[in-house]
Amino acid sequence: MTPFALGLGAIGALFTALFLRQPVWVALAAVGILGNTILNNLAVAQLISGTAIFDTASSYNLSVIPLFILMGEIASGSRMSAELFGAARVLLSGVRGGLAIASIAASGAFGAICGSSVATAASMTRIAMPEMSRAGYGRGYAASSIAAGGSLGILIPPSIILVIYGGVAELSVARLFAASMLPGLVLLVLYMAIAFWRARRSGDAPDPVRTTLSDKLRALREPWQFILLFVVTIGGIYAGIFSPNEAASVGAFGAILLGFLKRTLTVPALLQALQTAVLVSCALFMIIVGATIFSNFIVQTRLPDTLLALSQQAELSAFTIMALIVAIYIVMGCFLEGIGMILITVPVFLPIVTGFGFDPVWFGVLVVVLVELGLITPPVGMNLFIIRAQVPDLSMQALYAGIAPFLIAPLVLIALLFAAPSLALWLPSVLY
Amino acid sequence: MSVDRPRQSLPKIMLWVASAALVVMMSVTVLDVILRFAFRIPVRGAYDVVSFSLLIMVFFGLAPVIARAGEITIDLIDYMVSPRVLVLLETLATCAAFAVFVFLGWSMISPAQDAYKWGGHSLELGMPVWWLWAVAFVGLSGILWVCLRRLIADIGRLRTAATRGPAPERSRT
Amino acid sequence: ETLKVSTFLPPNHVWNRAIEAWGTEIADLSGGELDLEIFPAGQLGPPPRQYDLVRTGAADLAVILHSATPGRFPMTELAGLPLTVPSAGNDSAITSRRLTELAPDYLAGEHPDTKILWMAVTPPLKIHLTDADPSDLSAFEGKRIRYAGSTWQKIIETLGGSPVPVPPAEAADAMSKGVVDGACFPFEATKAFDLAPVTSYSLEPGLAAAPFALVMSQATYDALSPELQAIIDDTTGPDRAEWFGKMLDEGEAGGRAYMAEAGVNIITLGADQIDDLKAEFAGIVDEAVAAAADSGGDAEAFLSAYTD
Ligand code: NA
Ligand code: NA
Repeated sequence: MTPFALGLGAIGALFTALFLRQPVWVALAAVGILGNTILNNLAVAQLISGTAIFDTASSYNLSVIPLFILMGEIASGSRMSAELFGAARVLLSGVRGGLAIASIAASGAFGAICGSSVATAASMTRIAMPEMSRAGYGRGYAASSIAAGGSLGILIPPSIILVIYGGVAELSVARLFAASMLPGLVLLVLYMAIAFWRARRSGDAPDPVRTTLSDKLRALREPWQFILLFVVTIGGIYAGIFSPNEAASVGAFGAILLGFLKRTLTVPALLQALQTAVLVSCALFMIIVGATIFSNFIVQTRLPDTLLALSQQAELSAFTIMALIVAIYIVMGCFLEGIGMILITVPVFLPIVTGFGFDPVWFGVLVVVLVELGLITPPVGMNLFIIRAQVPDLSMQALYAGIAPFLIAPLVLIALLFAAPSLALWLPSVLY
Repeated sequence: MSVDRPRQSLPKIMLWVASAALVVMMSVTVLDVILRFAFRIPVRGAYDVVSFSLLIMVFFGLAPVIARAGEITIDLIDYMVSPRVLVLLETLATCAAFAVFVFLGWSMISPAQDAYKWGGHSLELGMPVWWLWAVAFVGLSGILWVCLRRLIADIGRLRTAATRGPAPERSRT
Repeated sequence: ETLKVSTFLPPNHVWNRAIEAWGTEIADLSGGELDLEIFPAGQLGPPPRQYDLVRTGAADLAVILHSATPGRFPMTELAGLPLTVPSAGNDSAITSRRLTELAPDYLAGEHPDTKILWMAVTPPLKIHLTDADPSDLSAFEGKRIRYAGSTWQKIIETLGGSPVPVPPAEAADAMSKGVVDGACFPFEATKAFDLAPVTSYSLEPGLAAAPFALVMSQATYDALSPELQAIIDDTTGPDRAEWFGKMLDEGEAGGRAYMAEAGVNIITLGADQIDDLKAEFAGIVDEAVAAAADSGGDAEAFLSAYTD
C-alpha cells in the first residue's frame, strides 16, 4: 500500500469511527497510532504518542486555554451572561424577533470575554432559550439564533482557536486577536440582520413587547462590570500590558473579584465554575493530543502535499487554489471539530498560502471563520450538539432547518475578507 | 456546560486536585503581574509553575472527564439506532479509550526513563523533568482505574440491555 | 533509498536550505540512489524531541538544538557558554568547524545510537535594547530581557537584569509595548522577527551562541551499502560544517546590515569590558564544566581544545 492510499484509508477510518460515536480524541489517536505503526513501526508510534500527551499537557502556551475558559465560566456563574441578555432584550424590545437578535448580541458581547464558542453557546442556551420558548418563538429559529451567535465566541477575541493557530503558525497571539476583532463585529451584524429578516416569517417570532426609553437607558448601565473585564483583559493585551496568558489569569481573577463584590458569585458557584473549566479544558486537551498524533501520521503520508501537487500540476491560479482550500475547510467542517482541523491542516496549507503572498495573520482569521462555520454546519456542528443536549425535546431536523439561513453570514464574511483583506489587517497595523 | 459531579470518590478527589492546579496557575500569574507593576520584579519560576500546574490539571482532570463520559463525541447516530446498539457503541468507545490510554501509558515509560537517565531539568527552576513524568504516571493510573470502572459499568448495562430491552439513560454533556 | 529528515525550523530557514543543497549533492553522487525528504517546522515533533525521533527511527536524520533539552547534552552545551569561543574567532565558520572536529572524541558519547554528520554553532546572540544605551554595562540593572535557554537566563541575571521568557514571534511586540526592555537574538533573526523598528541599541560582540547538530540514525547508516556510506562520509564532517557556518555568517552579516540601515546604534564592547564580563561569567562556566564532568565527560580537555 502506498503512503498516499494509507492516508486516504486512515481518513475513511477516522470518519467511520467518529460516525460510530467514538470519542473524537480516541478516534484521532487510535487511527494515528495504527497508521504510524503500519507506515513506520511500533516504536515510532510509541515515541510520538508517549511524548504528545506529556508535551501538550506541560506546554506553557496552552495554559491560556483553561484560563480563558475559567474566565467565561465565572462570568456565566456570576450571572454576567444573564445580565447581558437582559440588557440586550430591553434595548431590542419593540423589534420583531427582538429576543433572538438579543441572544445574538449578547453572545457576541459574551464572546468578548469568553474564548470558546461552545461555552458561549452553552451559557446563552441556559439563559435565552427558556425566555424565547415562553415568549412563543419558533424553537428551530430560537435555537439556531443561539447556535449562530455562540459561534462568535472564537472570532471575537479572546479565542482559543486563535491561540492554537498562533502556536502552529508561530504568530503573535495578540496580533491575531487584534485582526479578528473587526471581522467578528461584521459577522455579529450579519447574524443579527439575518435573525431580523427571518423574524418576519410567521410563526417564528411573536409580536414584539414594547418598553420605554427610560427602561432602555437604564438597561445600558447594566453590563458595566462586563465592559470593565473586557477593557482590562483584551485592552490589556492590545496595550501591551499583559501577555495573553497574563490577561487570561487577570481576567479570571477579576471576574471572581467582581462577582464577590457584586454578590452575584457564591462560593459554591465559584467551585462549580472551577470544576467545569477543568472538565471542559481537559476534554479539549485530549482532542489536541489526539489531533497531534493523527496529524503527525498524516503529514508523513504526504497526503496533503500530494493533493496540492496534483492541483499545481493542473496549473491552477492562486485564486482557484485558495478557493479549493476554502472548499476543503468547509467540507471538513461539516464532519470534524475545530481544533483537530487546525492542527491537521494549517502546517500544510500555511506555506502555500503565504507563498501566494497572503498574510499569515489574515489567513488565521479566515481559518477561524471557516472553523466557526463548521460549528454550525450540519451534520456535525458542535454548537448544534451543545444546544440540542440542553434542549432534548428539540428535533435535530428543526435545528438543521433553522440554521440554514445563518450559514450565509460566514460565507459573506469570507468573501469580504478576500475582497478587502484590510478588514482583518487594518487594526493590527494600527496597534502594532 | 452543566456538570454532574462524579459520584465515585476517586474522580472527585482528582477533580479537586486539578481545580487546585488551575487556581495555582491563575494565582501565580496574577502575583507575577502585581509584583511586576508594583516592584518591577517578576516571580522567578512563574513559567515553570504554570507549566507544572497545567500538567497536574490535565493528568488529574482527565479521570473525572472519563468518569462522566464527558469526552467530546459526535452523537449523530443516536437518532438512528436502537438503545441497545447505542449501549454497544458506548461500550466500544470505553474499550477504545481504555486501550488508547494503556498504549499512551506504555509509550510514556521510555521517555520517562530517558528523562531520569539523562537528567534533564526545567527551564527556570532547574527542577528535574522526571518529577513531572512521575506526576503524569500518578494521574494516568487514576485515569486507567476510572476507565476500567466505566468499562465494567458499560458491560453491566450491555447485559441488562441484552436481557431486558432498553438501557437506562446515561448522563451526557 | 529515501531518508526522512526532521527539522523543527520553518521551511525557508538556512538549516533546511543547507540540507536541501546537501541532499541534491548526495543524490547526484549516488546516481539518485540516495535522496532526502525533509519534514520541516516540527511536523514530526517539537524541538526537544528531535534527537529521540532519530534514535527510535521515526526519522533518519534530524537537526538537534541542544539547549532545547537542558541537562541532556552537558558536554555539547559547553560550546554555548558565555564568551567561550576559539581563539581564532567567533565566526560560525570557525566555531562550527572546530566543534565538528572535536565531536568524535568528546561529543559522540552523549549522542548514542546516532552518527553526527556535522555540528553547527550559531553566531553568538546579541542583546538588543529598546532605549537603554549599553555602553555602560550597568544599564542592564533592572532591565527585563527576553531570553531562551538556561545559559542566557544566567547571563541576564549576572548582568543585573530580569530574564523573561517570550516566544520569538512575540518579541517585537513585547519590546514595542515595553513588556520587555530588550531581547537576545542573533542579528540574522532580527530581520525575520522585524526587530529593527523597536530597537535603539544592539550590543556587540554576541555573548553566547547555540550549538546544533545534524545527526543520522546509526542503524540507517549501517544498513546502507559501503558505497553510499562513503558518499555520506565524504560530503559531511568539518568541511561541510565550515561551509554551513559560512552560510550562517552571511545571514548574520545581512541581519547586521539591516539593523544598521534601520538606524540602530551598534555598540561594541571594549577589550577591558569583555575581560570584566568574562570574570563575571566565570561562575556560569565553572558550574557548567562541573556538570559536564559529573556526567562523565572530559569537560576541561574539551573546553581547552575548543577555545584553543
Ligand atoms: Na471570544
Ligand atoms: Na459542521
